[in-house]
Amino acid sequence: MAGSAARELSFLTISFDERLVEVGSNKCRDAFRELFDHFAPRLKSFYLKGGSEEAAAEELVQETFVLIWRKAALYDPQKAAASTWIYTIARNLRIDRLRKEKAMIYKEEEFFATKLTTHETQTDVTYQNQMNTQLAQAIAKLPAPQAQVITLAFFEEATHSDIAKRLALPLGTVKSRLRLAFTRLAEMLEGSKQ
Amino acid sequence: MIRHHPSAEMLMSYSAGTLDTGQTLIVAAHLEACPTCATHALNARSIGGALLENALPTTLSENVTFECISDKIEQAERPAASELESPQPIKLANSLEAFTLSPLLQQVLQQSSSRLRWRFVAPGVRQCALPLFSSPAERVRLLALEPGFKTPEHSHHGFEHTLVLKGSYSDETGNYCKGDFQSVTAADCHQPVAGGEEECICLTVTSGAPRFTAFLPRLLRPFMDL
Repeated sequence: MAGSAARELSFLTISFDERLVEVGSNKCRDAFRELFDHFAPRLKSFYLKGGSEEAAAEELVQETFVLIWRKAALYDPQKAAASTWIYTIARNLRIDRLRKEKAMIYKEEEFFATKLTTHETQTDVTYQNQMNTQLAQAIAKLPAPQAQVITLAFFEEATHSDIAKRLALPLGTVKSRLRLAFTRLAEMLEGSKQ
Repeated sequence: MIRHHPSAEMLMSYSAGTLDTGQTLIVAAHLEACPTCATHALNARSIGGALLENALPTTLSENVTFECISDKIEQAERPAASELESPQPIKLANSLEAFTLSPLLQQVLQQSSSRLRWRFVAPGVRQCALPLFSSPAERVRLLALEPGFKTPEHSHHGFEHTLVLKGSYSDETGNYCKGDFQSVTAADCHQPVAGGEEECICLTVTSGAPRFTAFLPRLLRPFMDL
């Protein structure tokens, strides 16, 4: 069962990176629809968890897809998985609503990431896909308390003090759980690049 | 060679977008100079991406269909050519000097340059507040120390993050050069000394006004007695 789930996941991941490239290079509507079908309902969850009201969350989902369409030509599958790229756009949109100055700092992050990762001379386009699948599996395998803080931090936009309050844990415990989870996932990511 | 970095937790918060604005700025500026941390930050965003891709979906209302997105993108103009180009670093043509370390910081300083002033704090120390990025929770400024300047020993009531933009300084914990990042918390007490060869310019983010007012008198006290 786990094997077939992994294969299915891997198939999906590969298609998202390729679909995003097709949107960028050929303005392909079918590829765009596939991205929409998968990511739109999940982006709605993302915005709702971040504290947006129903209507605002749906408006943000639409804005996200307009941006994906417009910026897809900038997407480089060797630098990041499609999901990472879409997450970055969504995170920036969420910030843009609240703090314009902060949004300005993040605005060019995709460009900076492009510049900064040149020391990685990866030519295998599939590596991000594989990595993304492995990453999803590694997150699923984290001990529950670590998976919980990682989800709160990255998906629900909770600060580390918010997490400590919500889980009634000392801040130090939250930070050490985050650090443990991140170290484990980062090692896996580094390992998959070899 | 950069030897001092932000903590893993700080890089995670940065990547999730949950740091306050000043801290976001100082981490972003460090990332531009530090490929190691930039890779960590990208890894952290990959975690966000993986969580998004595998999240539980929420049903969309009939207001959000693929057809209405299609209409929106039909209406949207084609992106301007400038939108698809990487931004060029802007040269600072004012007294704030060129901060070659971080194109982002150059851009920020350039945009607010008409409102920025170096102000005298004490002999050997100048500061330039960046009010656009400051808030009640944090204060963002540039600090310039003359070569060899010895700050009076002090502790902090909150946090202090420092990024070296030019020159260097040392304290009890080590030597900090261009691109290095130091976080000091309330528990720490330190006495930074600027390197002797050239002026040291840092970007600093400190928490809250009360801590700042407590720090300033301490800094000024020895000079007031002159």
